[in-house]
Amino acid sequence: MKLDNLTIDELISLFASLSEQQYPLTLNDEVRKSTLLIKKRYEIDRELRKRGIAARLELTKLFIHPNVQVRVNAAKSSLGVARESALNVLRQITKEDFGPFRLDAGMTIALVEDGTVTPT
Amino acid sequence: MPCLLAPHPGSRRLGSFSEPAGTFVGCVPCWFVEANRCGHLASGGFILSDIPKVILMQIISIVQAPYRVPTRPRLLLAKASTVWLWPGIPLTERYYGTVRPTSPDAMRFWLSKFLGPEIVGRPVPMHIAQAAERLTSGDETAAQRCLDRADAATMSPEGALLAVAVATRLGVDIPDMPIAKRMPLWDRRFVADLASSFDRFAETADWLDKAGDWDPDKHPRWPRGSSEGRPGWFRPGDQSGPSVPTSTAPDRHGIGGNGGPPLLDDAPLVPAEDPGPSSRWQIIKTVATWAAKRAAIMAGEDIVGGPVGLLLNAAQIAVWVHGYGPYIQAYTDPPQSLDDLEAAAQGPARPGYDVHHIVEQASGRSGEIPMQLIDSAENLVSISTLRHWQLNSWYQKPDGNFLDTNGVPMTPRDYLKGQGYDERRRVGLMGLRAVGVLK
Repeated sequence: MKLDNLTIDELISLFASLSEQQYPLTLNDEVRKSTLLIKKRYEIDRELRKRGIAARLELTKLFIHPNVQVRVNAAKSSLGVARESALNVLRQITKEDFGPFRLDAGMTIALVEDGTVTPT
Repeated sequence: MPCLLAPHPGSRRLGSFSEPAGTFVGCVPCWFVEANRCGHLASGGFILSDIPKVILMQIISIVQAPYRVPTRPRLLLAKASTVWLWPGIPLTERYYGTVRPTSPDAMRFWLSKFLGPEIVGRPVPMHIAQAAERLTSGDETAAQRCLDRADAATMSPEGALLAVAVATRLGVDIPDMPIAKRMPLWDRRFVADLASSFDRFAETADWLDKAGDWDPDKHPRWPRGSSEGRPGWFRPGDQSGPSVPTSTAPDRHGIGGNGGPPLLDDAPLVPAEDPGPSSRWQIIKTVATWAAKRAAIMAGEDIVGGPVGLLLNAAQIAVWVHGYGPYIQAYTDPPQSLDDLEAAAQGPARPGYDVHHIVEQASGRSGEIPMQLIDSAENLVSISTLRHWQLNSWYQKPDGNFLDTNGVPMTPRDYLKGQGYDERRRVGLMGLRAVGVLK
């Protein structure tokens, strides 16, 4: 699929869809299948980056998505453009989730807050 | 004044005592209550001399003991063509002209709330099924007799706590029943949480509470001097008896028709049989995650047997899952200090726990970090197996936090390649905190 032919809304929808597909794989620690979906999702992330900050900010619409994997992924991809609101989403997940999403969200917060990684 | 009590069906015959007015026959509970009420024993005199002294002393000690007339001594009632569990949970449903019990699982679920997990081994559902048959034929009295034969006369301690909470919420009387002598299995918060799920039975509870346990108009007896039947014994009821409302249980069969268990309804769906290796662990992980959430809600409470076993019982999780209890229990552990985790790693192996290397073994095998450091006591911690798997999975998946020079996400393991022991350990400890095992 040529991502550059898609509208921003379509890219966001695809981002959400891939994240939803990733959800059961994360729950079951299925690394190999998850990796394929993660790579596809980062192609979308890269396409949104190409289209500018406004396009990337569209991902913040997914901060209230009912699926926790979608929220985690959207927050992590938005850290460079909406740092505080993205961190707040991740903080909320660490409070509410008792499964693997807590680890992902918690690690991201820790790495960002101590400066190990700098979101772009 | 004669004191003649009619024998009750199912009651135990105490014996006969001579007295001027005739023969006294009664059952144990009613006799003492009624004797106390009418004041024969208190007034003394006319029957006391005929009673053997040993029995008399027993009688007096019981009569003098504080006694409260039970408002509703039963948990199971047959009324309005339905078997009810206090406060108003229908355990039967009407299907066309037949009264039949709800599913055994739903029945055991509700019964175990008040009678404890011990109920699982008792044939109470069988007695309810027999009562349902009697109700189908319209014999409510016989149905009640079936229920009274069921071994459901003692409440569990936690069931008693729950009954108090439910009665308070619904504004109904508490069943006055003996309580098993053991420690309660639930804490107050858990009981309060459970009690709210009984709100949906408020209407039937109110009706049953007002109807009371025993309606003499519905169970007439032969009067004294009757030639048609034995005085004091039950006679057939009048056709124009007092009206009772129809059961609130739906006269249909289908989803929602059996008053099934809504309690802990966030519990994951678990197949009755072990599905095998393909999806077994997926289910265990789901149950563990759910149990961790529930355990966090109940954190700090001292519960006999630990919360997990109770949770699995309360949520009616399939039996095969209990075999994986150590994994689920370990997953619910609260975060601990690094010293504790390291000390546990030096102890004996524990089911449900793995020894985790804070700095990954792979870095030692590749020669980047000396194996002495990798296998040293400060690098080994004992953590929940399921959380260990989560950490391993995190290390192996590409992560947007770690981008290579082309902006492609790397795995944390790849990111840490080339880093020193201290940096790897720092990230490793960060992972232990994030996964919820390290304070």
